Amino acid sequence: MPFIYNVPFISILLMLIVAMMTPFIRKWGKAACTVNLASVIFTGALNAALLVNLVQNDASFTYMMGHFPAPFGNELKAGPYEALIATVFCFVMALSIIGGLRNVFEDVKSKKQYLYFIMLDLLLCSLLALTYTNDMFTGYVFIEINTIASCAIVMAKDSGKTIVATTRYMIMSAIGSGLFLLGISMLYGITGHLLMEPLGESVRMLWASGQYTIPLVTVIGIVSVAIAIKSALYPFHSWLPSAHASATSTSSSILSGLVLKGYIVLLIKSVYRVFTPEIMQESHIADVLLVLGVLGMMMGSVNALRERHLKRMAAYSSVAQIGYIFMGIGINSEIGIIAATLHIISHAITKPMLFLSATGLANVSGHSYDFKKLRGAAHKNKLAGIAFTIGGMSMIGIPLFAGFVSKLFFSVGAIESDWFRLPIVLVALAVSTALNAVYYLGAIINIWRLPEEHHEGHHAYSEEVPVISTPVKHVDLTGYKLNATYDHKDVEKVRDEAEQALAEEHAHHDEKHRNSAGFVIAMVLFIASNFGFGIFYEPIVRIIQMGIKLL
Amino acid sequence: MDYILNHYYEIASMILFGIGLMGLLLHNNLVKKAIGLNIMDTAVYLYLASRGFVFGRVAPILGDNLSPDAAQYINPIPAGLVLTGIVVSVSTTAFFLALIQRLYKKYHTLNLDEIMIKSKQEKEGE
Repeated sequence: MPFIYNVPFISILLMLIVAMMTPFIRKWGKAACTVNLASVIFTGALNAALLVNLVQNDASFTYMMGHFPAPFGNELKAGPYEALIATVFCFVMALSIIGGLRNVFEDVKSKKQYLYFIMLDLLLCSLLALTYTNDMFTGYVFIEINTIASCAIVMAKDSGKTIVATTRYMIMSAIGSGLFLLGISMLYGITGHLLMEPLGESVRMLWASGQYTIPLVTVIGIVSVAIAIKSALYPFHSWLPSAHASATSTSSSILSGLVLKGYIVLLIKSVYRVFTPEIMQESHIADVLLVLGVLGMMMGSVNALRERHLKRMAAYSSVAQIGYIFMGIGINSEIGIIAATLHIISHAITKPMLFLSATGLANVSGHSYDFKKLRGAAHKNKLAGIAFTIGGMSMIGIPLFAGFVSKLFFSVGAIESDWFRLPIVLVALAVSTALNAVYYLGAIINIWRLPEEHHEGHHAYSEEVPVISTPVKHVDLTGYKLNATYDHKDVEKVRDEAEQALAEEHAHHDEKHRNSAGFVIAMVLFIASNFGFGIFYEPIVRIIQMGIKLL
Repeated sequence: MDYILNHYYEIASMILFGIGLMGLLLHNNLVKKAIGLNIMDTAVYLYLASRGFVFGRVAPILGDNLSPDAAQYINPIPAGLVLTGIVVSVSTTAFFLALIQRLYKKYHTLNLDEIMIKSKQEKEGE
């Protein structure tokens, strides 16, 4: 076995070890952040190397934990598909952390910052495990770890709103994981296996022999519903907008870009290895997923349309995008899954960019996400404005942007499928693209619109600052006048001090306006990868195709 | 009728699962929700344990009077799954209870509806 085949195991273990070691450097939030970031990037590099190796050899392999052969031990399985997804996860995770770093340090209490990074480590660990695992029960355990870690990064901001949002998220997640556990317990009761391949064999045998048909359909339904709850498919989406909108920007971008996708990757893997597309089709679960996905595309967009809060709008847009992905799974052909995977990737590189740039825009408009306050914000923070525009264009699906590729494949998949899916998918694509265009273009025009007041860009700022700082100056001076022993010198000194404070405040304000280096790097890389993916998508499609054959 | 008598563990566990699920979904009191979560998880463990146990057989533990006959033993994996599941549900419950404590400190109530109303009245703290 080549050494590189250890990568899936090493990367999961590495993130666990980093998470356990971080408390030792808890005094320095910055150090914890550096260690976390370095390990995420290192893991990403390892997975990229694995991806290159597997694509070159056109190979996939199973990694036996503890060297027990198939029906007994626990296994990891890696092919080009899993390696690609894992690489994308690490890449997006690293960029989201870099881009939102300043907000993390502002929003999270300094004593608890190291805990935030531990949660990020655990989150990536569980995402990688969900991607690589070949065992349903391991999948369940890591789903729970994922739940706890993602709830923790939502509540890291520790305001009333985020805690309420976390509670709702936690309740829905608990229902989802309970159902998933029930589903795999029943599956184990019927088949006696937990590893995906033997499980798939006995499921196929049982289906062919006609035994246990009803329990099997029930199990597939329960597992699909469980994952649909976890990844906020339409009727189960109620927890998502508040959780994603109220968290700090790194959390919202990771939650929306990666966490939702981790569960879907597990579902795609179990569809191919365990339930098989034929059974999904014959039991009509695929049809249900398709219809729910289409409903999600519509309702998510309609809700986003009504929203006047930029982050909530982006969160509702996530509901719509999850609908797209489930529609791809519901098309239930190879090209449908390719389209779903492309959408996973394009959404993973677009939505974090949207959330981060929305925060960048809000930072220059008095930390508000309200559309009225954000008016003209793009002129004050050009980079965030450009990034938001590109993200919006990509979500609409304009050619050359990432979002276009997956929509192209969705329509190809629809044309190649049957009479039932063709009209539904094409109409849904058209309507939801129009809805996307309406709300994203509305937001984009809003942030670029020049404010009605003349030259507001500079004035609003210089009007704003004295309001904060003058009272302090007055109090200082008047307080001094009450003092009997004041002389001219003292007054001058006080005035100097006050002026200095004012200047500092100005500098501080300027500092807030300026983008941090991390934000600039993250935005530039996100924009570059968005265009790169939108233009040179052929090789990625080929990797996905190869990966699905080897799944 | 025979079927029900033979599978009363499974049926009981499914009923318990339903009770737990409804508790988690419909109760307004957060602590009752946590209890519902636990009932739901425990129902699944009951299901697993009852599926994994066969009357008249023993646990496969190595001992002095070791018999090579596999038919005497039960499958140990369901028990292992139950143990893992218990660990997971304990940590989820702990996290949930910690959250509830936080909410209680902030809003002085355990009623989710009241908390939602209060949090909506709060100024947008972003």
